[in-house]
Amino acid sequence: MSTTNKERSLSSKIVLIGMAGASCVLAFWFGRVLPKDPASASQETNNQKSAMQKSVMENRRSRISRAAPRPHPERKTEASRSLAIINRIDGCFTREDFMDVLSSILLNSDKTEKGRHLALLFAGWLEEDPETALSEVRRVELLRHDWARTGATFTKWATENPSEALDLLRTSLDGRQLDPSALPPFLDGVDPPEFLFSIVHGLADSDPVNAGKFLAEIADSPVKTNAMEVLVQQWFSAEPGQVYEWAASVTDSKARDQALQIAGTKAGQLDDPSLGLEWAQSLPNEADQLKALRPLINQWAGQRPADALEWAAKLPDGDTKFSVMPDVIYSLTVIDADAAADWLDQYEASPQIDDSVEAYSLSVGQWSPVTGLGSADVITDAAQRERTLIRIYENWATTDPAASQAYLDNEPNLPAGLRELVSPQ
Amino acid sequence: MICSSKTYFILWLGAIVAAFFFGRSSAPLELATQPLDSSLANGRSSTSPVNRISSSASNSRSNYKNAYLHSLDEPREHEDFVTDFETLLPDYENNPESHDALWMLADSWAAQHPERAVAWLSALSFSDARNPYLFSGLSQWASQDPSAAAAWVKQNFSEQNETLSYLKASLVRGIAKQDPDRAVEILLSIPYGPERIGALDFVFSSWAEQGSNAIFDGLESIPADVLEFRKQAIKKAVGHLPPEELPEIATSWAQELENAEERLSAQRAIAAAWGPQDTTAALAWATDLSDEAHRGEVIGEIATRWARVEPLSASAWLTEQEPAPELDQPARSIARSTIGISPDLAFSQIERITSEAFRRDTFEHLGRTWLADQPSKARAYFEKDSAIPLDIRTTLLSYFR
Repeated sequence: MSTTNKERSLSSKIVLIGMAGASCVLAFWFGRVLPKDPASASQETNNQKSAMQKSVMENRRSRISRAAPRPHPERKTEASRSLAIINRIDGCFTREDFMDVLSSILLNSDKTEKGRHLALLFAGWLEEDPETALSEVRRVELLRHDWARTGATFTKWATENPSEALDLLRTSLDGRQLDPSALPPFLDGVDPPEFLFSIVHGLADSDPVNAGKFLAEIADSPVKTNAMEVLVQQWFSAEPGQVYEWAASVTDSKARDQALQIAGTKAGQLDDPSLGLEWAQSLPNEADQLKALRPLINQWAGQRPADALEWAAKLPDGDTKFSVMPDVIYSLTVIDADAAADWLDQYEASPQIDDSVEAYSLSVGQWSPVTGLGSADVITDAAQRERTLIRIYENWATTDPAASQAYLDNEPNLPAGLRELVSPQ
Repeated sequence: MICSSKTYFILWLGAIVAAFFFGRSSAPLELATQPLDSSLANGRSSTSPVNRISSSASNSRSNYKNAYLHSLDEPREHEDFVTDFETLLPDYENNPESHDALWMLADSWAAQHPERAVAWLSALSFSDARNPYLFSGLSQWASQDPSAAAAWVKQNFSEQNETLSYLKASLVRGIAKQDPDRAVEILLSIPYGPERIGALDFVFSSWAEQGSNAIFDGLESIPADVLEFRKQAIKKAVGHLPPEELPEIATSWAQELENAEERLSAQRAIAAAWGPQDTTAALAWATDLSDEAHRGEVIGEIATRWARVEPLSASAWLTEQEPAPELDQPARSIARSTIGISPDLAFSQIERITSEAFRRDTFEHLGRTWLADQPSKARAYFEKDSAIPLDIRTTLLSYFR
């Protein structure tokens, strides 16, 4: 009996403890559910619910609007009109959704709004479906003429999403640009490549190394060369060393030539091209060195011909020196023809120096045709000499027909064969 | 035992009270993490709108733009607008988003403090005489109070002022929605030129919201005294028509235009808009046009756009047609798009152009275009025999010298 009482007492305690526990859990739950200040908290909850419902409703409305495009809202403020567009864009998920909004913008936004609204549309479209966005943007007639604002959207997207941008570049330049049945080539009047280049421009900021690697590896096409130039234009300003390294590492021979040329050109545009000169001369073979040096010296000589001459004159006599010197002589002659002539006078006429003589003759021939013709006469290669003589004389005949004809008629020391070369057949 | 029961009871009550308050204290944390519309939440924060442009991340679609845009319509003092404007202004030339932000800021500013905003904005100077932010603010003011905005312009800008036409265009933009007749009146007071032509877009945008009848009726209020202006107006009118109205309503309306140049202008605009949507139907309509002299230009509008997207299909269509004067312009347009794909095809189509002068001009023009884009390929092609006449090939090759 006593055992039974003890058992009952134990059971009662267990029940009581259970009830106590359950009541604590209930109290915790009530505490959680009942607000501190019933009035304000209920308002807060209602606001949040309302905001969520509003969001859901807006999404629903956006979806419904696909079937029946909504008219533009009445003009209130620019901000409210842009928000209305953004709300529609936020409800877009398929190509058709975006195309509906695109049509609406093209039809209803006024000319001061179209650029901004299109940029908002393509910013949203790029996040949802970059490939379709790039494919459709080129079909918008308005953007063929005024692409800069939307182009900036593509650049910004590529800057913020480098891996997606690189994927898009892969998809767009996977060789289809060479297959006319899939995509027309990137020619003026056909397929404006601006938006593709905008993406490359963004990648130049966010992931130039991988973009450079990819562009160097794809099949050759006009757009490839242009894209490499766009990339390096931006990349070189930030990291010239990386550009040199990239250009030297490209393995495909044609792409390597292009890369060396672009990097050389950029190096030659610097006030101090010494690092570029050092890089170009460090390239493993003379052919590559020349591919980089020629554009470099060309650009450098265009800005500072005397400095370029001083550097190039110190090179040992050989292919490199005589290949880069014509550009130097051409530019130097414009500002100091005597200095150019002095350098040439060190050498006897020979095939090695012919290109430099031609450069001098053409340059000086622009304002002193007689000097130019006289200089061209010492070119040793017959075909090159004739070609140079004709160019100088024809240019003179266009600008001053009487003087050029008088020269031809009266000059006792005409360059050999000039009269026959320039007389009408 | 009783004492012990009371103790348990008190402990139980204490536990209940403690559990209640514990639950209560944890509740707000839970509620705060409810998924509010983040853009609305951002927009209602107390951060300066300008800071929201630069500091917010754009990790979800247009979130940061939402925040900025919501903030613009919040009531603020004139001085706050001045501060924000001055903060953004230095960047306006380098960053299109800053320009947009300033444009909208000027608009919202004028919505709240129209006269002060416009006065402040008018003191800004730019390399171009045209002040875009004054344009934006003035438009907004004109939309609220057309007479006051127009009076302000009249008081501050003489008839000789070089920007008067630009500012009148701004008034047209602001007034067009509320009072299109008054907007047209101001529009016609602008001397004929780019500002007047540009302002046409504002009145047509406004009429477009009321439907195509409003567009056609509105067009009637544009006088025909300057034919070029009238043609521009016709082009704008067609550009604002809903796409579904192009095949029937627009084509019938265009056909009834008495002036041949106006008719051509309308038909070209229809072709430009309809062609990309339904090339086959648009071509069928264009080739059926009774006006032979203009037919080629209308077909050319369609062919140009078609060839940009599907150059080989457009080219195949052209090859099936008998050479005819009306196909000269389309042939040039299509050749322009096929030259980089198949020069033989492009030049053989140019060869079919019936007008000798136009044919020769097209050979040279397209040759130069191609040469600029693909010089080595073009040079190799020009050096061998082809459909291009020898003298034109020689001219093209001379560009290499």
